[in-house]
Amino acid sequence: MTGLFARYCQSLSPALRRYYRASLWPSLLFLGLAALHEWATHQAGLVLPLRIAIALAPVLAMAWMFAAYLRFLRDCDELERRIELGALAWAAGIVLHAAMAALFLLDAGLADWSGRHVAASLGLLLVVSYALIRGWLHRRYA
Amino acid sequence: MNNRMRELREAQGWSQGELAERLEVSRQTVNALETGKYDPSLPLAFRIARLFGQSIETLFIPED
Repeated sequence: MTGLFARYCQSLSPALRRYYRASLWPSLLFLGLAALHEWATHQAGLVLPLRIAIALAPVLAMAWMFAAYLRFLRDCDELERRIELGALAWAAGIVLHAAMAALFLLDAGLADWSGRHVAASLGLLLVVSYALIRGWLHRRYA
Repeated sequence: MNNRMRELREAQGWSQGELAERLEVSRQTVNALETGKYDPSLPLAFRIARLFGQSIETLFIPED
């Protein structure tokens, strides 16, 4: 298992290895801040500014992760960049269409979804579609 | 586009990983170039040609 993991790490490009290392701390911070946010939603006594700060804190960790991703995009080679940009473009297109469909269905009164669920579903759709298309593109050029 | 990268790499005795290091690209990129799944940009094509001491025209051969 360790050998398999070591072989996987060796197969990664230097830019991707740097990105994985750089995104470790912001990922852990995001999980911690998301847990803090979950805890804060059940606390009635917190003052409003603190509640706002705790609610928005996970976004800062995401911004840190995104900065690491942008550095990876700058440092990776041209095929990696082509794969990443292709996956991002497809994922953005899929989410845009889903967002438009949800907006029109809600506007027409044909759906009764909460904004919280719509936002969470769109975020999940973005991540899943990006990951699937990226995997498919990697297989295509393998 | 066809190319002579594999032939020239093997003549040098380099693995795909070693060639990738010399070109500062990933091993996947070298493999995709050798199998014709990906055509390089002009700057990368010049780097490859310079590394093998060849001209671009002798290294990359259009299919038509």
